[in-house]
Amino acid sequence: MLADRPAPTKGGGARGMGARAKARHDGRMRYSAVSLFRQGLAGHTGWGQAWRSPVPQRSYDAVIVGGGGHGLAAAYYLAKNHGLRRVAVLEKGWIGGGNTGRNTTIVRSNYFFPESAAIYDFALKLYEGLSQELDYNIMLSQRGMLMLAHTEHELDMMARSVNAMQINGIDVELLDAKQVRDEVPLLNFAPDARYEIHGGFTQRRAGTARHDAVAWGYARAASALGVDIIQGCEVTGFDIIAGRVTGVMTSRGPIGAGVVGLAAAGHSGVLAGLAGFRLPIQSYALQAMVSEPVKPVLGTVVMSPATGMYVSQSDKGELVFGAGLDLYPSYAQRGNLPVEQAVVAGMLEIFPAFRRLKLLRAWAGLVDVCWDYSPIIGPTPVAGMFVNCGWGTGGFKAIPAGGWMLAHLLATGAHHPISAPFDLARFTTGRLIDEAAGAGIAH
Amino acid sequence: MLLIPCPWCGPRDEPEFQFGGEPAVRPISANAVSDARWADYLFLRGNEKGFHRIERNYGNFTRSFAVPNTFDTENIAANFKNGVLTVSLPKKEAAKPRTIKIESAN
Repeated sequence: MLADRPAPTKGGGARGMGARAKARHDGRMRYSAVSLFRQGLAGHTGWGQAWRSPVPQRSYDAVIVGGGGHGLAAAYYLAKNHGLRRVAVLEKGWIGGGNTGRNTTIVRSNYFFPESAAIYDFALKLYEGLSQELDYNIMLSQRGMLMLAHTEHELDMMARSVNAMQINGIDVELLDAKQVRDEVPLLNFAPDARYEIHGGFTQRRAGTARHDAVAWGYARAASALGVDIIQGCEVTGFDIIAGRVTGVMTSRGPIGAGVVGLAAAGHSGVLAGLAGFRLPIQSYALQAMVSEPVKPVLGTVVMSPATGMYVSQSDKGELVFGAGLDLYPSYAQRGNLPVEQAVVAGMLEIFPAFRRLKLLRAWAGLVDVCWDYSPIIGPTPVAGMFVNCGWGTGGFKAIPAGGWMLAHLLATGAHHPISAPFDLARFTTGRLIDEAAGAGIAH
Repeated sequence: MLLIPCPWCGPRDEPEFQFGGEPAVRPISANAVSDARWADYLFLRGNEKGFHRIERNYGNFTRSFAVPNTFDTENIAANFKNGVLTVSLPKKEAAKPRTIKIESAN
């Protein structure tokens, strides 16, 4: 059932698909082998802008703050699923320049609790059809993901997680040490290895996608549907009248808004502060880095929770690997040497063959970590304002679902069934979705 | 902040008479407040952009600072109750505010 990729039709649903398909490419070049060939003959001089850069209008039906993957996806699904045309995405920098451009591009849905499995697998299913839907190659590569167990106890816990995930309908398999070795022969199976490998589990449908392409693909498709994407436009305050948001103040003047969606990841707390409420999140720097490019050596994503390291090889050949959180909250969008050293050391223990590679770049994103490591999607204390944040270290894999859910909230004012458990109210009711312990994520 | 009732001039701030202040967030009792208030205390954060100072810790704790000579060093007291460490540093008489009567010629 999972293999045949059922189109997600719950809630906001796929109404009037045909009409929309026509509208999407209104006056816009369709990307195809034919257009590539034609442009090749013309010396690639005829490619148009992928999205418009309009001057902000005085007001919109819906304003989304944050032009990363989640914000752009929300705008796209607002226009596509709900037919809203007067939608703006406000981005203080450039689109996809925050965490969308700073992650390790891993997509997966192997989460422990049914609520999490539902939302992350919804995202993965949307990812599977996204290149066709957006007419933009997001370079999804379902190369699988391998989570390592370095002790017998870890393997026992992993077996329990795998059982839970299988009940949740996620395509995970438990592997013994030999199967792991067959999958990734480069791993350190030496008898004196510091981190012995006792087994692991894999999700075959997991993999990587091109991070920029996800942002640009959503931006292009949303812009074609009439969404205004306004870059270099920082929100500096909100117009709130009698507890209801009526507009946003920006560095490019005031903009009226029927409803406002916040999708600002690590800066959600800053926006909440401007709107006069607080969120149960703290912002941390999470860093990642790439090595120099080499020929294909690693055909899957490898994660090692014990060493806080995850690595995959990009299409360019660079090893893209990431780290755990900094130990203290901060807003620093930059890496630091102690974490870098720890993660490189961890990787070299597991992949001794990588020790002669040079480190090319390191950077950090600003992640919004929630106490239960699950996102916050839902209404805020301000009427007409909705939030999609708290994805912490795993927002990229959830972009299509986060956008879909925020769009549903903005259009209908009510939760999609999948997003209902992630409401802010869970901190009052105590019904937390504690993925920090359950999902076996690396940080 | 603790107010000290003064019979002549009404309530006065405690730091007028001694150096002091809350060193940390005062804990509340979960059973004594509503769920919403408890969630607000336990989970919600300002998460301000900028430097964060963390001074809550488990185990041994040392914090040193220089005491100016306006303190009454003989009467410094420390009290740890309900998770809150209160250090009171009384001011010397000479450093306390005092009233100076204006003498008028006519």
